[in-house]
Amino acid sequence: MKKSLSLVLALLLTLSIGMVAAANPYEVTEPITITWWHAHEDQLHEYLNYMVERFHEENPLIRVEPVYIGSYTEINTQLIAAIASGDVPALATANTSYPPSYGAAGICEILDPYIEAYNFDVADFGEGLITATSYNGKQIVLPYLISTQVMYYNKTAAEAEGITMPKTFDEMEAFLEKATLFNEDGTTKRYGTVFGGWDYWYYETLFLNNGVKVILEDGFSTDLNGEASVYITTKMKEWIDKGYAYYAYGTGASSNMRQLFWDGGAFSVFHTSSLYDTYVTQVGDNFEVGMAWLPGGNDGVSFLSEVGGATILIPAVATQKQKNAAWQFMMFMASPEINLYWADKTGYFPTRQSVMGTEAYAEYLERKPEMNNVVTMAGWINPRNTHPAYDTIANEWRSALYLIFNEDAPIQATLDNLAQTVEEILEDY
Amino acid sequence: MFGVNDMRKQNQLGQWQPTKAARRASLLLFILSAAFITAGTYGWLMGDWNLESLRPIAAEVYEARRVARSFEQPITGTVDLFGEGRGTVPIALLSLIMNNAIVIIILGITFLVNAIMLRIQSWERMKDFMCVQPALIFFLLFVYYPVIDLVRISFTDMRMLVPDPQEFIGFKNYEWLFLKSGWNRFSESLLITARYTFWELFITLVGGLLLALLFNRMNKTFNAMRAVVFMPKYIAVATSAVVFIWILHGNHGILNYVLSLFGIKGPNWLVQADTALMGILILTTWRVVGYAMMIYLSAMQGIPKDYYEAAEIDGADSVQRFRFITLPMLAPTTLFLFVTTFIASMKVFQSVDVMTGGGPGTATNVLVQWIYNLSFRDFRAARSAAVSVIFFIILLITTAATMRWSNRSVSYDS
Repeated sequence: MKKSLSLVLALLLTLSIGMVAAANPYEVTEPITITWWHAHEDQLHEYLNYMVERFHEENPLIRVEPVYIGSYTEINTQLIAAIASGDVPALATANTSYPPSYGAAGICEILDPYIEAYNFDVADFGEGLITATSYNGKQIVLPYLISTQVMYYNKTAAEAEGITMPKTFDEMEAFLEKATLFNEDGTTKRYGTVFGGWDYWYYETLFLNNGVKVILEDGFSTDLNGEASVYITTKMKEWIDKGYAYYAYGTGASSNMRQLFWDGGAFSVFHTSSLYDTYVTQVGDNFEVGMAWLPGGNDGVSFLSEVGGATILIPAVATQKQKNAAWQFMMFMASPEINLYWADKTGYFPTRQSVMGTEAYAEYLERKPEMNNVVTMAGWINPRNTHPAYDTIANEWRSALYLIFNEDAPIQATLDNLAQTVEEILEDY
Repeated sequence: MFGVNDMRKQNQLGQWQPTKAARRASLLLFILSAAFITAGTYGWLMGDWNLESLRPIAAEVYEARRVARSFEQPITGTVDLFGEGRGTVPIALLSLIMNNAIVIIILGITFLVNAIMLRIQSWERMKDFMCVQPALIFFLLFVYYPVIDLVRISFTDMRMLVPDPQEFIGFKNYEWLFLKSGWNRFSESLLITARYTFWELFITLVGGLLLALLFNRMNKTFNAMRAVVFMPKYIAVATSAVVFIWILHGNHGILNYVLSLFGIKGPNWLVQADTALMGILILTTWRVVGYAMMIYLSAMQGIPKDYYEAAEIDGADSVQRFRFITLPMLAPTTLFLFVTTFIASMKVFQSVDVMTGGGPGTATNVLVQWIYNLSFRDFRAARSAAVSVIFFIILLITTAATMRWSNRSVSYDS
């Protein structure tokens, strides 16, 4: 009897092990080394290495080799080449603007089966982030560092000179008049603000919140040459010409803009919230850095912003063993604890909603009080436009604005030309 | 081994005919070439050409590859090529043929040419041909095939993110280039490239010649100075471009600082549309004049001194000696520099990409930068290929025209 019982038990044990193995084909069962292509610069490597080491301790079978490739654009270029050759990294970091085109091309491994197998709480990212990282309803990347557009400003000067940050686009004029200082010869001593013109992301919401639609509902046309767009462009041009605002564009535009602010040459700048720590460190004791939400729509109720930052993906052509190991690392990177650690060290903010009620999160906000201005508005952060041609269109838009702001090209005619080009691009999709 | 006449013998009528051994070898090569060319063409039609009737088979191969790659196993399974079990082939073999279609076709052609040569040529000639073959295969594979494939891609809808499968769309990419929005950007880029090329040619030819005249002295100081002037040519373009970004920086750049010492307010070189191309040309000047100088110098050393002595006796001054002896004697060198610089400058990319990325706006959007952006920023590989094909034709025509003109105008008699 005992013998039969032990035989039945042994059989049941074997069956249950077999069932678990069959239920989860994404488990890592043997040692493996995987490569992660990322875009995190030198100053973050200390924290990045700490996280990788932590991961190694928790997952002794997997070794992750982080490789700094360069900017998001460089990763994109190299990833395309790697996919064509079939020799890909197990993981790659991608900017939030890339998932739509990657999804359309089938470049990313669809993560839904992994999420299901591990009961990974994807809902904790919130609806907006899930939409931003999905394609056709399928999760293709995970967000692990997010940021949004903000205005950094000189808080010390604001308090001393009684300057309030503009809430809507129409409030910009009065704000700029107050924030701009001129030299005796009429040249600008301190710009009221600097528009980040090298990337459409920094000025895009000024247009979107005032009703401009880069791609109209029909999917074939644009109102970038419409009344609202012309109005906003005209106002920006006017401020630039008056010396109230500076349009940072071309080689070194980002560094020039930052330097201008740090040196006191600009009262405020349009930039990404992810650089909060950099701004605070560079300014040092010269003045206090404030962070404000971008001016919203003139209707007073549209305060849309768009998600920026980094997502992480597994190339679909990787081997299953690579994918399994990569998924473990992805889960680790997006876990609440690591998510908050990363956010704290980088200036990005956490992507997990469950983090927000924790003590650690309260401490994080205490250390970075200005982040409150962003996280209280987090409900307004939206996914970026997921049209596969959006990036191409936005680049044309950027060139057109450059011509208007820097080369004095006629506004309506230039925007009409732009609209024609955009519609031709859309015809192809 | 074959002797001189082992491949061919004289018949009773005195005509030379291939020997039996040569005929057998030739027959074997014919059979091999037929097999290779057929297999290679089949693989090419299935893969690169994406022939509609072969798509179901290609899909099976792609899927088998995906599974094999995913689970790190060899490709398994068979596929029935003609239905009803008339042509069952291992998918691994088919995948190999698809992947290496062009190599297989080129090998087939090589076998065919060898088969013909065996029948009509002597062993001596055959040996010469065999020596040339490796280089010929290399050129076919790595030089001419990419050019031909570029033309093929220009007729497809290939996008960088979706390399397979591609659809043939006829002349649509060329229609976009010449009749739609592509034309404005193309003509603009061509004009910018032409402007850049003109100035680089001017700097190379005039700057190089002037420096060569200055350094045409054989003493130690001048030797050292020559080396210094030539050195930038050894530095990678990307590296020097990064340095020049700082040199040309509007606020903190050393160039504007130097200009300010003379009371001149320098522009924001790489950010203003009217000075960005000039900024890139400053780097170009620094890089190319030393090279042109060295080429001119070596040519100058080759001009016989007797000419100058005779001219001096006839009372020619230094300007006349330069005008009537040096300049004409340097004509072949000038032509060489003209053609090589013309081709290189039309293809300028690295310095533009690093320094301005084609901007500001489109002020430095030279053709190769635009081609690159089309492929890697907009992912439109097929359109990029169409522009490349037209660019190739432009380069070919202009270079051929220059050579033709030079044959009539340049004297090589020294």
